[in-house]
Amino acid sequence: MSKRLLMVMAVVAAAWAQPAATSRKAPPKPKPHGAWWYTGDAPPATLGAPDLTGVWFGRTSADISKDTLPGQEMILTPYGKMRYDTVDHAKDPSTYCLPAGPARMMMMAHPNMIIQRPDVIAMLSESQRTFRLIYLDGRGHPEDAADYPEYMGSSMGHWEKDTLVVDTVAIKDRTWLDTSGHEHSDKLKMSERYRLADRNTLEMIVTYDDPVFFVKPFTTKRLSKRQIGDRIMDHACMENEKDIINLVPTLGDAGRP
Amino acid sequence: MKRNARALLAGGLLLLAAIPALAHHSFSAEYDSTKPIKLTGTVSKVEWMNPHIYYYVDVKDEAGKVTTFAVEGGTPNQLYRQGWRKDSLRVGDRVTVNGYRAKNGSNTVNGRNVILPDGSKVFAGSADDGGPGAESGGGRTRER
Repeated sequence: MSKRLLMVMAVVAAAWAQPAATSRKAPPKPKPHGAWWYTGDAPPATLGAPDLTGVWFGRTSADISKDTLPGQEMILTPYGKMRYDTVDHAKDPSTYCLPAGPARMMMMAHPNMIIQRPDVIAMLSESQRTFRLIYLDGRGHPEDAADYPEYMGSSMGHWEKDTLVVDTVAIKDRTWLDTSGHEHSDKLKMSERYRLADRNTLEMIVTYDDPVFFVKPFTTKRLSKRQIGDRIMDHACMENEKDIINLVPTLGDAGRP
Repeated sequence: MKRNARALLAGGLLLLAAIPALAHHSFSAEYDSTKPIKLTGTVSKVEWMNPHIYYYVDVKDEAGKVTTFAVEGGTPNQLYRQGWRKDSLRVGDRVTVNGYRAKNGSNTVNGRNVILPDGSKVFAGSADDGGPGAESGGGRTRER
């Protein structure tokens, strides 16, 4: 048998031994090309101030009482405890495709995009394609904000060195703070501090102050990661909604693992 | 004795594996974690749509009667990020689905994984897939 024939046979045998190519799963994506906040590369040196622009994703919002900083635990008022013990998980606003609210929107099973300008910052959630705006131009909350609460509330921000500090009021009391079913009143005030822990890590420290539901203000900390090469995708929540008809009342701990 | 202990441990681990690790609590507002179900049948329709994908599996019983089960999976965006595509599961595929039944007794199932006859899994997200929400993989996420 010639060497050449042997070689041909070896090549044929190797091809034969290859597992059948499966087209069920997409091949890995190539390295992204585009803006620094899309590729995860270093921002241009000319940028100066920190820029939070990018697509971010952290863990989902199981239970914010487990995200508290040391000495900052959540303590429910008797009324808050009664509400938490009897909250109906079949009535989670998320299930009804309602906006998640300013804090929970950063904790949904969808990424968020931040677009930063000196005078306004937009936070865009893939979840239901909802958004919130944080004004940095010193305008202050609308005078009648408390009379017209909104799902995303009213948010004013300013920079303290490298930290974006956001003050939010007038949050509609129909939103939940997490998937565990922590609710709040329209007295809730949220103070958020956003900072780049590193180029591709966004630190989010939130203080919740609501005397109706919580004995004292408490503070949580969460991290989100830059989603390099990812984008905000379509999410029309009611497109093919089939769950609501199947829901049964599920109160308090019965809806938690 | 040692052998018994090992068997007991293995049994315990099996039991743990059988209980769904719920990533989102309102799972239990629709599905019953004490009612696992295993379906084998033919895919008759796939809906790659928000807020969750649905696929329909026709299951034939011994008498030849066909029952169609509506199986809910993950969100299309999460599945896409894990590398699945709208044609990863196809009409006519013979599949076995492991999932949980709806509490209201309807033929609605929360599908945890779909297994093709060659043993490969489709729409079987796991914590290691890395995409947003991947820790809730397998279609168990209840957030929208």
